[in-house]
Amino acid sequence: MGGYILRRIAVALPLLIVISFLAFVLNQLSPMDPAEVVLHAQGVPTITEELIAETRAELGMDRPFLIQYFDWLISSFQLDFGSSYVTGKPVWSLLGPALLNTLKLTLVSSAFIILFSIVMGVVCALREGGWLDLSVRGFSFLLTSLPAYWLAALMVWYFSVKLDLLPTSGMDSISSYILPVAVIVIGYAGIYFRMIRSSMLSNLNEDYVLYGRACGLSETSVIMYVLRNSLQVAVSVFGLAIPVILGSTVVVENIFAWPGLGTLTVNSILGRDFPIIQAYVLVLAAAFVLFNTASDIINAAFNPKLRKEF
Amino acid sequence: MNLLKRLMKDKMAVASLSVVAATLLVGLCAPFIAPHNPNEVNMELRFAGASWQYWLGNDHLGRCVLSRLIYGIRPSVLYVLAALAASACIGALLGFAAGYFRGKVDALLMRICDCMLSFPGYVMTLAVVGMLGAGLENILLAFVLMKWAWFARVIRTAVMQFADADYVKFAKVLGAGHMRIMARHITPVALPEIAVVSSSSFGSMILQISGLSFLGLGIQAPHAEWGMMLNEARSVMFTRPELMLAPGIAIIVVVSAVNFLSDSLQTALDPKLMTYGKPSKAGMNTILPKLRRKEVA
Amino acid sequence: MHSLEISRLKIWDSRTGSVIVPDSSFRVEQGKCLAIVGESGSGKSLTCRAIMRLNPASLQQSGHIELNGINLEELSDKEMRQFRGKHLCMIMQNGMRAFDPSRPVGAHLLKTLAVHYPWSRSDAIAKLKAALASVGLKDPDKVLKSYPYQLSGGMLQRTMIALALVLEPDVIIADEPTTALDAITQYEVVEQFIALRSRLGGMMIFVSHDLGIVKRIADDVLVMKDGHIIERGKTSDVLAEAKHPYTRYLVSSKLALSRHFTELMGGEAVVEG
Repeated sequence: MGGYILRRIAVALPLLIVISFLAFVLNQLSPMDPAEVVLHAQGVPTITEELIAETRAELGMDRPFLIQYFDWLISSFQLDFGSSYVTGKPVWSLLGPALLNTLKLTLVSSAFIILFSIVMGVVCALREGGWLDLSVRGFSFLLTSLPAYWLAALMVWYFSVKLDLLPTSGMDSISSYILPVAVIVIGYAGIYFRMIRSSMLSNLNEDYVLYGRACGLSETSVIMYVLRNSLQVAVSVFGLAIPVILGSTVVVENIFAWPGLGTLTVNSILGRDFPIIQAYVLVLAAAFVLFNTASDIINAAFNPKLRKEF
Repeated sequence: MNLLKRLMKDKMAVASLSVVAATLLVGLCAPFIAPHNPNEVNMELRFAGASWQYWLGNDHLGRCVLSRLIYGIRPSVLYVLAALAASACIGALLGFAAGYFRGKVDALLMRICDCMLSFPGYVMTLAVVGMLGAGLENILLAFVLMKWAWFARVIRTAVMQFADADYVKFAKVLGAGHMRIMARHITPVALPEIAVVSSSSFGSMILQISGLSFLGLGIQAPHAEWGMMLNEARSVMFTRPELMLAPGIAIIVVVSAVNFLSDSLQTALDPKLMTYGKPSKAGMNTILPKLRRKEVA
Repeated sequence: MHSLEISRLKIWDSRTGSVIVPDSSFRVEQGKCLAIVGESGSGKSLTCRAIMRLNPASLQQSGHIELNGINLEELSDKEMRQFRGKHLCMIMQNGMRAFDPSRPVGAHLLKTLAVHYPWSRSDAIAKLKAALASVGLKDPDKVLKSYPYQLSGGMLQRTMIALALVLEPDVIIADEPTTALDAITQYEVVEQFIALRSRLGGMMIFVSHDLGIVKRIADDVLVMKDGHIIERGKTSDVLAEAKHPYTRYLVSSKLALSRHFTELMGGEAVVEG
């Protein structure tokens, strides 16, 4: 097991390096000169060639490309992503709290998504073809075709404006969580429910279920067998799902004015604040790789057969 | 053609196909169908309700909602389809190359694919848009950039399966050239596979592009686009919630039709999925693509 | 009194209404082994599962299944569950897929014993080890602790036989237990089945399409085709002078295929001439 963990991490590290390089290159590929962006943002009235050259030197952009990259990479490890072009504040002082807020939203939503999809997936698989199964499946199909922001807007209009029950935006109390979490859960629970259900069904058709029943085991014990095997798939599915949800809270955050990563990033894109975009890409990609690795390791702990692979 | 016949038996599939086809047609012929100019401002008709002249009423600038909806098909659906086609072409070419020639080409391409696929779709799109600036073209570019790897992967697998088939080996023995073998033998077999992959990503791409426009990162005013229309409606959401309805419902109808079509395509391709109670043995194979599909959404 | 009697068994698909097994009747006597022969899809496996009442809910069955004077169709689900394993024991075709892949093999064996017998855990382990050793598994401790993927198909097949030895059922139903194995392992596993029969002395239903094995193990043969029983009788009679053309076809076509096997068995060809 220890060997497996080491091998798995050895695979993840180069990927992280590649991703960090891509995130850095992205910035360089931009058609706009960052020096100009900075000067614009500082409200300098006339931008001269000398001024641009001066700013470029200030930003360290006159150095060779690879040196810039390594400098950036090393300081990134120390959470120093430079300063915002627009406000001049250190990136991490903006990104850190936003990341925390987004993480809170993501984790609460993920917990509900996992809960709902496992419960519904298991129940529907055990009652395959029944009315509950059919209606939950139909409903989940409809939900995957729904634009999340549209649903969010309707919910705000109904619950916050019409009924005046919940806050429309912000992150002030527990009740602020209800609407954003509901929108995220509705958007994702349907997909993961379908995965759990089909994993349960394919396991229910396995020979070991028949043999277990043929040995006279109770239905409960047989279903425990199936659960243990189906939920392995769930672990890897959710390991991938959490960073996906983390990355896609953008829209929801924007609607509910959640002070998180999504809001920050959209504003940075509109303001061309490159260091923040760069840091956002790096942090999320790293989170993706980390969750991926972690879920593989957890899976291997469940299923010893997987340890041999790699 | 067998596939098409099987698809035609499925009534839901026929209905979804008609909805999608009708939408595309209306989008193509927008100037002939739309009753008004979508950008014609008419402040006297601000927030006017439905009338015989303006079937779906007017928006905050008095523009005809129906006409904007019809013109909005272009960026919301047609351009997405074009981006999808572009990435499918790139992916198909590279996938064919990797699966057919194997060796170093294959290894290199698949490493690149791994890297692309390990990047969450939303982050990738935001990164590209962040770099190049907001705008519809940039989002479409981001789609092409991140989708091709996915197509390449799927098509490579399909080609690998068939490159070993006896009739292809036979053709090689007969001395048929590479291009000829690809065109004559492998393309018809891999085509259904491509259809399933593209139809399953189409829906999520429509949702995504309207989402980004809704955030103001996509198409710029005054152009009509469904997400943009929702964005405009949002500012008057509390007083005029009905303006959210038409574009929202348009998105839901088109996306569900696409999703239904994609499901029917999969069933028509793999009849095993239809006999319920006996799911395909390759449980994980059907699960993971779906996971990836949402990942991009 | 000691017999398994199946009469007028009918199995049909309740969704499509298609009848898979229209009307089967047969009987297994104490100490006898009945082989059911036929190609895949002929209804052999469904017949076996119908006896255990283990077909999926979409398949319906009617008829009379009587074990030692008890009508199995009339038992409640709970009573039927107690019958399975204790009285009716099944041995599956593919050992690699018959055990929960994420638990050691021993976990399933001990759980099964705990359902049927009030033995302490250490007693159960001791009995299992003795049984595993007696079917020729060298290291019973290791087998109990192994995950299914760590053992070979033949070892898992023997493990199922060992479990049957401990459970001492009245009827053993083996559904193509040798099909998934290579020729040498087949030979060894068939030997274990013969030993199992002589040690338990109960009834056995042995589904196979390998006439070489059938000849070696079974007293009586049923030949099934498209759900119908088309021929039945003593094994030697049926193989020597088949009446139904389909059986003659089976005998002649299997002859060529099983030559390798019969060589290994050291016996003569299945059908002379």
